[in-house]
Amino acid sequence: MSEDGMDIRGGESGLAADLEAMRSAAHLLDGVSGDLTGTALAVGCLAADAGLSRTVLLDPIGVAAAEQELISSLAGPDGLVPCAVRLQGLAAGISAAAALYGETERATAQLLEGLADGVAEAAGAATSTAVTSGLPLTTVAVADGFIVWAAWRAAPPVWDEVQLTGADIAAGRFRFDSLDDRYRRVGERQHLGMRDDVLNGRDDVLTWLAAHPRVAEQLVTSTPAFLDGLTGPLVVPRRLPVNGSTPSGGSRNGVVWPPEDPSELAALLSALGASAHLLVDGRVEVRPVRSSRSDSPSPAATGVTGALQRLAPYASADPAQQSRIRVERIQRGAATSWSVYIPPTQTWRFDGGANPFDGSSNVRSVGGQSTAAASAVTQALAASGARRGEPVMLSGYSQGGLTAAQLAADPDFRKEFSVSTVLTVGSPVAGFDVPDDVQVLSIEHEQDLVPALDDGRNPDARNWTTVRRDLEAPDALGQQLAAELERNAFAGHGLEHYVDTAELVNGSRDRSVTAWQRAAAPFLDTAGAEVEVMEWKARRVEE
Amino acid sequence: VAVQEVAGRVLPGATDVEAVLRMARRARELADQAADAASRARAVEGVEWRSVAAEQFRDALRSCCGQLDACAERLELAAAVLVRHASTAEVRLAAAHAVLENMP
Repeated sequence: MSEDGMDIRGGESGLAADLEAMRSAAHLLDGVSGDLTGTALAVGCLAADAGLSRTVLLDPIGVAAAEQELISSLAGPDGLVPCAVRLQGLAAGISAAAALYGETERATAQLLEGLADGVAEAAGAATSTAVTSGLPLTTVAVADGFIVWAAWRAAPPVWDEVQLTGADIAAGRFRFDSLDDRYRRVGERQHLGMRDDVLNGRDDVLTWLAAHPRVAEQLVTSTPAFLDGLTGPLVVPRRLPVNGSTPSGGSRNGVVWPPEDPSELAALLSALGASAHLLVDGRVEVRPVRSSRSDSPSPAATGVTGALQRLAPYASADPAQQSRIRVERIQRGAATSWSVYIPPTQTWRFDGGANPFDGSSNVRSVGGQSTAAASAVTQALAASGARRGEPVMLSGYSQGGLTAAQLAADPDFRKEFSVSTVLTVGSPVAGFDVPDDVQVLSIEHEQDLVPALDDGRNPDARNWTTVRRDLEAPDALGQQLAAELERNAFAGHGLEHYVDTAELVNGSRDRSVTAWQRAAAPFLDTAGAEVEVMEWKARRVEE
Repeated sequence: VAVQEVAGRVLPGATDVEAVLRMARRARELADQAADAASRARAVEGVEWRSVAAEQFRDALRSCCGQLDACAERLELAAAVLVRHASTAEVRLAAAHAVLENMP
C-alpha cells in the first residue's frame, strides 16, 4: 500500500499466500458445495411431499407457511441452490489464484534467480579469463564484468512490474513473455548511464552505488555467484579449512565455498579476517553509567519518533555517547516491560578495538555470527534485571537494527528474554529468521544504501511490516531532498530523514502499521507508567 | 390408514399427521446440514492468503456463509411451522371426528 510517499509491505495487510493451504481450501469448498447440492435436492423433495397436500384442508394457512419457508430456503436469491453455486465459484477462484501464484512464483524465480546467477557467473568467468590471460584485474574490469551487470539486473521498471498485487495476478494482468525484452532494454539504459558516470571517471564506484541502492542490493546478492565464476577454472574444495564461529559462539570446521548468499560470504570474510586478527568477536564487559527515574518522556517523544529521538545521541559523534546502550524499565502496576535502544556503527575499525559497535560487528552479524555488539546488549539487559516472561522491545538504527533483528532471531537470547517487539531503522535485516510471535517494523529509504546490503526484501510476513519511503517523491520536500542527495549520495541513511519518516509512520492509518503500533504502544507511549532509564557502557576487552 | 371414513365422509387420518411430523424432523436435519456447511466453509477464512484479492474472496465467503446461516434458520422455521401445522391438524381432525360422529 502506498501512503505519503511510503510503500508499506508485510504486516497485517501484506501479500502472502500458502499455496498448499489454498489448494486444500478449494477442495474443502468444493466438497461443501457438493454436499449443499444434496441438501438442496432433499429440501426440494420435502417441499413436494404429498403428506402436506393431505392435511391442507385441516390447516391451509399452516401448509402455505411451511411451503413458503421450504421453497425460500431452497431457491430464493439467498437460498441453498445459489449458495452452492457461489461456493463452487469461490472454490474455483481460490484454486485459480493458487495456481497462478504458483506459476508466477515459479516463473519469477526461474527468470530472476536463474538469469541472475547465470549472468553473474558469466561475468566472473570473463574476469577470470582476463586475469589468466595476463590482463590486470582492475576496478574497471570488475565493474565492467559485474557491477554493470548488477545495474542491468536492478532495472527499476522491472522491479515495479514484478511487484504486483494479488488482484493483478489473479486477474492475469502479468505476462512473462514480455519481461525478458523489457529487462534487456532497461538494462542497456542503466549500463550506458553507469559507464558514463563510473567508467569515464566522473564518479567513483562507491558513490555511484550509494546513489543506486538497488544496484548495490543486486551486487551483494550476486557476489557469491560471481565468485563462483571467478574461481571456475580452479579446483576449490566445497569447505575451506578456515575456522568460523557460529552464532551461538561455537566453532565449525571450515566455511562453505562458494558462499551461496551474503550471510555465507560474510562468514567467509570474518573467517579469513580472523587469521589476520581482523573481524574478531572478542569478550565484552558492560558497566552502568546512568540511572534515572521519570514518570514519562515528553509527549513528543512517543511512538516511532520517540524511539528515534532516544537513539539519536548514539548516532552523534559525541565521544561521551560512544559505546552506550539505553535500557528502560517500564513499570505499570505489577507488570514490568523493557525497552532497549541499540547504537549504530560508531567506528569503522575491524581490528577489535574497545568499542563493540564497530565494523567487525557489522560484518559478523550479516554472517549470522556472534558479535560483540549483541553480547553487550545481552549483558546490559541482564544487568538491568530483565527476566524471562517480561516483554522486551529492541530498537536500533543502522547496525543497531541489525543487532536487534539478530537477537530476536537468536534462540539462545530468546531463552533468556521474552522479545515481543522489534524496530529496525535503515538496517539490512532481510536475512534474519525472526519468529512469528515477534512484531517487527522495519523502516527503510529507497535512497539508503545500507538496508540494501542484504540478500533481498524483508519477509512479507504477518508479523513483519516494512515501510519503504521514496525520499525523492514528487513534492516540495522530495525536491529539496533530491538536491541534497545530489550533493551527498549517503544522505538517504541520515537519521534526521528517518525522524521525518517516523513522523509519517506515527500518523499512518495503514492496517499493518497500526497493528505494529498497538504492539509497541506499551513500550513507546509510557504515559502513566513509571520509567527507569539505565545506560550501560560496553567495552571490548582483551581475551 | 391414510384416510378415515367417518359417518360416510372421508377425512385425513392420524398417519398423515405423523407424516407431517416426519417432514418436520427431516427439515431440522437439513437445517443442521446447512449450518454445518456454513461452519465448514467459514473455516476457509483462516487460510494463509493475504492480498487485495484475498480480502475480496473473504468478503464473498462471509456473505455466502451468512446466507447459509439464514437458509438454516429458514429450514428450522419450516420445521417449527410443520410441527405447529401437525398439531393444528390433529386438533381439528379430532374436532371433525367428534362432530361427524355426533351427527344425527
